[in-house]
Parts: sequence; structure tokens; C-alpha cells
Amino acid sequence: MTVANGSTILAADLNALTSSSLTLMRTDNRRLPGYAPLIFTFQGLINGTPAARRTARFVVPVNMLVDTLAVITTPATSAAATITARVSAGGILDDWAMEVTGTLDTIAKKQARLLFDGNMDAKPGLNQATTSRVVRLLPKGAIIDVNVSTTNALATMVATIVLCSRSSLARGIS
Amino acid sequence: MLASQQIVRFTAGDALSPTDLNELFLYSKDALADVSEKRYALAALTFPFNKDMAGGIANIDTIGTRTQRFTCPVACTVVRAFLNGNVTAASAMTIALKRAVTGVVPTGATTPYLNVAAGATTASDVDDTNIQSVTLDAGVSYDLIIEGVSFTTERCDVVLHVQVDRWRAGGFLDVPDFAFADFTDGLADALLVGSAGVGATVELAVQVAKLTARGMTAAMATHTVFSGFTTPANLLRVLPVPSSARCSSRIVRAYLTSSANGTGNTVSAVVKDSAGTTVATLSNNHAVDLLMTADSGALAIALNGGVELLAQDFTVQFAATAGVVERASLLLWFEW
Repeated sequence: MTVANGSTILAADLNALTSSSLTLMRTDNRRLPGYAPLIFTFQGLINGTPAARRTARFVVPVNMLVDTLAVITTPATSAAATITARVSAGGILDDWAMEVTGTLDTIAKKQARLLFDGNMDAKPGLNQATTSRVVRLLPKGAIIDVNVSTTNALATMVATIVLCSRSSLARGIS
Repeated sequence: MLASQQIVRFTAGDALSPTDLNELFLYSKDALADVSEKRYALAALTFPFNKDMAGGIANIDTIGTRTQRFTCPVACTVVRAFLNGNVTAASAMTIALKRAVTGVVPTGATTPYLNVAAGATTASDVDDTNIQSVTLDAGVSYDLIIEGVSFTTERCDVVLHVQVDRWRAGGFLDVPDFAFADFTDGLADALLVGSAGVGATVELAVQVAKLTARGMTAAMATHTVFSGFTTPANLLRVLPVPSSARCSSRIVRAYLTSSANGTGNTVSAVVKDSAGTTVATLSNNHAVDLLMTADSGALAIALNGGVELLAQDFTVQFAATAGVVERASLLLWFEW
């Protein structure tokens, strides 16, 4: 839209001004939720690691909509080893802990990513089989415990637990 | 929130009343105010004060082991620090926050920064919170140092909630001021653009420019206690990098910090994207200094895809040429 001093404003000019400003708002990336990966590393995790060393805790800095919970391990693990990561949130009235579990192989490389499949603790009064969610809202200020355990016996393994989340919620604009 | 969802629409032939014009600008004001709520972006940086699952950090460990160094690419403010751990602390265990090299405590930081009181003769859960705002300068390295006379950690995480002011990053600090009185009912000819009208357009452009500044967040990969003899596969780390048309994020900078006590030991980190292409290589030659930071310089690795994608796996390959590396950390900064 271009207008000059003294020129007549057309209705189209005003509509263009409105449209362009709204388009800027709608398409601006700041209007969209940002991603914030939270990463916890457990170096040398084995089957005998004490629980105190297998649990990390953090405070949620902003409201987060977790849509990916993943476990990534490197490099090799014991034969038929399994790993389980559990994310629970203290201070939340209705704590549905998220859990990821899977089997690892013995190949010395980055192992296949284990992704959260919606397995949560049952919500009282509801059938978990039909009410599990693939996302989880973690409110600002909640205290989150990330606990991991394994049957692996090789101390070279590194387990990385990742929470990928939108750091704010969309407001109906996409 | 938007105060009004009503959009002023003009049709050719309508009388363009000053009331309508004012509503138009007020709508823009509301929309900008809504965006302004997101002026501050928060990132959570987690620093694990432990060596590995076989053992934690104790007071007898070297300063290189007890120090976590980090750098922020933009000026920011730490708005909250949180410590949680499982430790044995016969005497007080503290965390200090200091500017690297000079040891100057940054503005706003208390001494100590975080504190675990003495008394835990067996491993116990401990926590501490500091809500003092601490100003960090752009591109300056800071150290978090765990200190004490007698302590041992099973695990101890320090989380910093780092606040980035998008407007400061965008070079505009003033608060939007929308006090439009450019169109009044008493105006003789509201259909003509006067100088005040042009001024309003310029003001809108300035405010919109603020929106180009981006929020920031970070991800860190770390490895402790390795050497030039460590099998490379054991030093491979994975950093999941979310990619989405909705978040339009990009990697803008990487820092490698390392502590090594072997003279001449070079610690390196090679960052590759999910396709295996090297996107950054950083190294520190510890010929003199125990603690060092390498800066990748500006990066512009766009992560926005055309569709909603799962996180991509970026890999970080740590390596050393000799000696013992106490800790190496790769801090990846994102804009979104």
C-alpha cells in the first residue's frame, strides 16, 4: 500500500493496510509455537546403576506441549538388553507418567530411536486403552522427573532421553 | 489476547468515518499487543554435575571436572536457577557462577549462586533455587563451578532458565505506543492523508520490525572422562533437532567447551546433520589453558521443512588427540 500526502484514500487502500498488517501477524514465526528439545544424558548406564544416578529432575520453564519423547542410545549394548525411560511430573494434580521402553541391539552404532507411543499410567476412572494421549501438557513450574533403567551390562552405552516440546501453545492460527 | 475480533472492512462508496479508521488502527494495536506478550523467550539449559553412571563429582576432583562452561550468543538474563541432586555433603556444597577467566561474578548473581547446606552424611535428595535475575553478555563465557570441602554427588543437575528479549535482539527496546488521535470526528477532511497518517504507517512498520527478532533455545551434548584412546563410537552423541514448518527454527551457533589436562591435547567436535553432512567442526588446543571455548561463528542451518517432521538426528562426534579430557560439551543454539 502506497499513499502520499494529499492523495485520496481509497477503500482498497484501507483494506490493504488492514490485510497486510494482519498477514504480518498471522505469518510471523513468533505467532507460532517454538520447539524446545530438553535433553538428558546418562553416560555409562548399566543394569547396576543406582537409582539416584538414573534420575534427573528439572523445572518446566514455560508451558510445554510435549509431542515427542524419545530414547536414543549409542553405541553397543548387551545382547537382548532393554531400556525404559519414564517421565513423571510431581506437583501435577493428575500425573500421567509417560513411559518409553524397547529392546536394544548389540551393533556398535547409533541405535534405533525409541519413541513414545502413548503409553501412560491409567487415569482413574477411564479406560487407558482408549484414553491414552500422544501429547502431554506440562505446565510452567512443574517438576519433572526423568528416570531411566536398563538391563544392559556394557558401561560404554550412553542413553539420551529427549523431550521435544512446543514451548508455547498455538492460538488457533496456523 | 486480542481485545476485539471485529475486523473493520471498507467498501468502495462507504463513508470513511473517523471512528472506523480509529478502529482499524486499534485492531492493529491489539494484534501487536498480543504478539508483545511473547516478547521474552525462555530456554532451559541443563548442566549435569556428574562424571558418569559409575561415579559422581566430589570435592577432590579437579577444577576442570567441577566446572561447566557455557556461552550465549546473545545478551540474555538468567531468571531462575534450579539445583536438584542426590548428594552426600558433610559440609556445604555450593555452585558459583562466574565470568570465565576473570572470575568476575555477573551482575545480579549471588555468592554462592546455589547452595546445599551441610548435614547430609548419606546420599540424600537436595535442591535449591535462585530467582535473582542475572545478566549475561553476548558471546562471553561463564563458568558454573561446584565447590565445597566435603561432598560427593550421585547426580546433580543445575538448570538455568535463560530469558532472551526478542526486542533487544531486534534492536528495538521501546514499548509499542499506540495512542492514535490522528483521525478525529472533527477533522474537516478525513479522506485525505495528512502527515500524521504517514507517521502512523511508519510507527506500524517499526513495531512490526520487532517481530523479526527471534527467540532462542539451546541443546547440549556432553561427554566426560575420555582420551585419544577412547573408541570413537563411544564418543558419539545424538542431538535431536526438531524440524517443522510451524516452528521454522534454525541453528545459528555452536560452542565447544572442554577441559583437558594433557598439554597439547586437542579436543574436537564434529557436528553432522541427519544426512551425514558436516555442518560444523570445532576444536580446542589445550596447549596452555585447562578450560577452553571454541566458537563456530555464525551458522544458518535452516530446519523448517514443508511438512510437520519428526526430529532429525544431528550427531556430535567428540575426539581427543591425547591425554585425558575431563569434560567436553557441545552447545547448539537455535533460533525459532
